[in-house]
Amino acid sequence: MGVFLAEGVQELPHRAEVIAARRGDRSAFETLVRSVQRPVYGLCLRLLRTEAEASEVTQEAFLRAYQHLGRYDDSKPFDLWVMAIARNLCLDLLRRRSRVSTQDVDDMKDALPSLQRSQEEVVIAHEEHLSLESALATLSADDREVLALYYVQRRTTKEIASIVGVAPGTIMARLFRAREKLRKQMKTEDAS
Amino acid sequence: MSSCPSLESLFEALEAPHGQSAAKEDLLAHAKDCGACSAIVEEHRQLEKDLFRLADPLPPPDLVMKVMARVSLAPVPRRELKVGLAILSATVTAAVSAFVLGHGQVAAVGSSVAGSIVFWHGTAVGLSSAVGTVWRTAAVPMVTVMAGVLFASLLSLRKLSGSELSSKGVKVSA
Repeated sequence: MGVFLAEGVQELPHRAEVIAARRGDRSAFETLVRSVQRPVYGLCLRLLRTEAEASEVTQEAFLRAYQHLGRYDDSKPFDLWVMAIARNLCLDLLRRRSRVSTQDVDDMKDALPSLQRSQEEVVIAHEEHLSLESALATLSADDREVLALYYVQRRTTKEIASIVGVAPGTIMARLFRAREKLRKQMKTEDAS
Repeated sequence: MSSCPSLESLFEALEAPHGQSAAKEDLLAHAKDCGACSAIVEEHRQLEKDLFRLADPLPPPDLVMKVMARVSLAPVPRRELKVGLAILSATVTAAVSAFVLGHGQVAAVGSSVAGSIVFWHGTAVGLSSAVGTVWRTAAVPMVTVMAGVLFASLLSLRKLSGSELSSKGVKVSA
């Protein structure tokens, strides 16, 4: 019982910064940007596949978040709200350019973090890592998005549902389908 | 051995956190015994491990600086409630000032608005009374005449639009 009560009154992270930013405190907003920039930029890069566009869209998402802080619902996590804004901007951009391309995979490979393992494993792990990234790049934006949010950012299906704007029940099915496409793609790459 | 189920239903059974139904038991038993299915399940598990090892890329070092540069040019965000209250108070202030400063002009405008409301109210009451009386005395003929007029109007409109479209060379399907 006590646990439930404690969970019920648990305060969301970034609440104090949001309140201060609403009052016009720009340094509080800067703290917010620093706290959530990595997942927001990561999602943008997974969707758009180019660093320049991902950076531009991330900036725009934060600017819009700042301009519409009054509309932000305090009962939901701030990072999910910004990610939903960023996601919509990415989808708008993808619709505008309306092309499916893997030409930017090499650009993105340089931006990916290196795996932190022992020296002797690095070469093999890096090869596997690049192979996985290449296979990911062939998937649709929807598939990349759900895989990135679930596996890379370790979001729950409920959190993903709130970003994507669908019922939580559909996320597991989407995840399975995206993973199955990825598995088939990896098999094709291995065979070739 | 039974034929392989769809992969989606198999994974639904594997990933469902709660509940044990007979169908789910069958699926799990199949996944355990069938070589092809267990191989695919294993491939998915391995893929999940690999995916979990991926990490988000680091954002450009100047991202925060660029964001804050754009934010500094934007106006300070305000609560919509505050904006609404400000608009409301400005409107009330303007109305009161007009009333105080305008003397008899505002009163004249108010009287004419009140007069027109009374006039239109009387007209509406009279019309509704007339329609009510006609309805009580001759409802069936009235409905028949109204329906006839409506039907004739719609028919003529349709013919009119059809002839206009055909004169412009537009093909109209039946």
